Amino acid sequence: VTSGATRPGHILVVDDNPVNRMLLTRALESQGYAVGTANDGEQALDMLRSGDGATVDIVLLDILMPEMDGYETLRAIKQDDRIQHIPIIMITAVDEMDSVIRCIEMGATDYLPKPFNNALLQARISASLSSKRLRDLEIEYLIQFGHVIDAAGQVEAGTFDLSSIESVARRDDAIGRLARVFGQMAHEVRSREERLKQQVRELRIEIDEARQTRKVAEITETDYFRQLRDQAADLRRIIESGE
Amino acid sequence: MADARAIDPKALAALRELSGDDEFFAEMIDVFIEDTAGQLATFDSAIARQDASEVRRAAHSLKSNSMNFGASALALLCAEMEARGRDESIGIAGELLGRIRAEFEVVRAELLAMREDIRL
Repeated sequence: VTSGATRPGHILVVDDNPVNRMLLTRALESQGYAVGTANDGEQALDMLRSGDGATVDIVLLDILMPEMDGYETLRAIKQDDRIQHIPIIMITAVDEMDSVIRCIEMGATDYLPKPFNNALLQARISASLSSKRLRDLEIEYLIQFGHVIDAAGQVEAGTFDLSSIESVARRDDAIGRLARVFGQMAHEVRSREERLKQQVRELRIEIDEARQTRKVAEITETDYFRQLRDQAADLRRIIESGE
Repeated sequence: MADARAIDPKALAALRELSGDDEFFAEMIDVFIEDTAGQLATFDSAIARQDASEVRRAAHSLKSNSMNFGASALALLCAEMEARGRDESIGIAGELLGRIRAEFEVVRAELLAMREDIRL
């Protein structure tokens, strides 16, 4: 998902009528939008499904076109997971209200009557663009939130790596704060765990040492051992006196 | 001499405003005239092979353009042709096509005159 807050909206105009394409392109470009055009539905679908399609914010779609008409194009867009979220504004003649209703039932966002009115065009594009941007933001939030959820799974599995949420933590919004706090807490938990492990290791060494000391004491403090030590001392004395 | 009533000056003024500048407006007039020639040829072939849906589509496109340029009478004739295409009753559409051609000639003459004015 492209960060769309700063770039101008990208509109795809789909109309077999060259005058309509020219008019809409000119009107939209003068409002600061980037405009692409397609002469029919098939060409539009090719463009939407290609790399360029990822940046299209709104499709302005004529109904009556040769080859693939507006209904078929609308249906194909709505059935394609990758592009079905793009708002579609139908271009219609004023006497085509039945067609408009059918298209809206099929998932079109809005309609634009012909002949075009500049203020209406601007209002409808602006409204659809706002809802598209909001949706883009929601998708982006879900993706970023997914990173934090993955990180929680890593913490649970003991494989957490702080770098996995670094990009989310750099955001200056609520998700960024959540990721930073989460990372910090996960880091603290891990540090505490490491400290505990270290303490356990040290304790184990102490226990081993105590155990060895006790074993040594168990051996050295028996009567038999004392007898042996006395005998050894006697032997040493005999040897030293040369007797 | 062109019939002054063929084009509604208000609608044409709105289109001129929408197009932004006169050079672009003149270009649109050229594209409309060229595109209409293509639509008329489409009518001929579609009527000859009794392809009602193609007649309907071409009529719809020409109607749309005619409305853009304020050619109300031409738009009405195209709406009639579009309805015939929709009802699949294009058997005797030749006469209607003749009226469309005649009306377009008037519209074309007016638009060409206007384009000349723009370029002066």
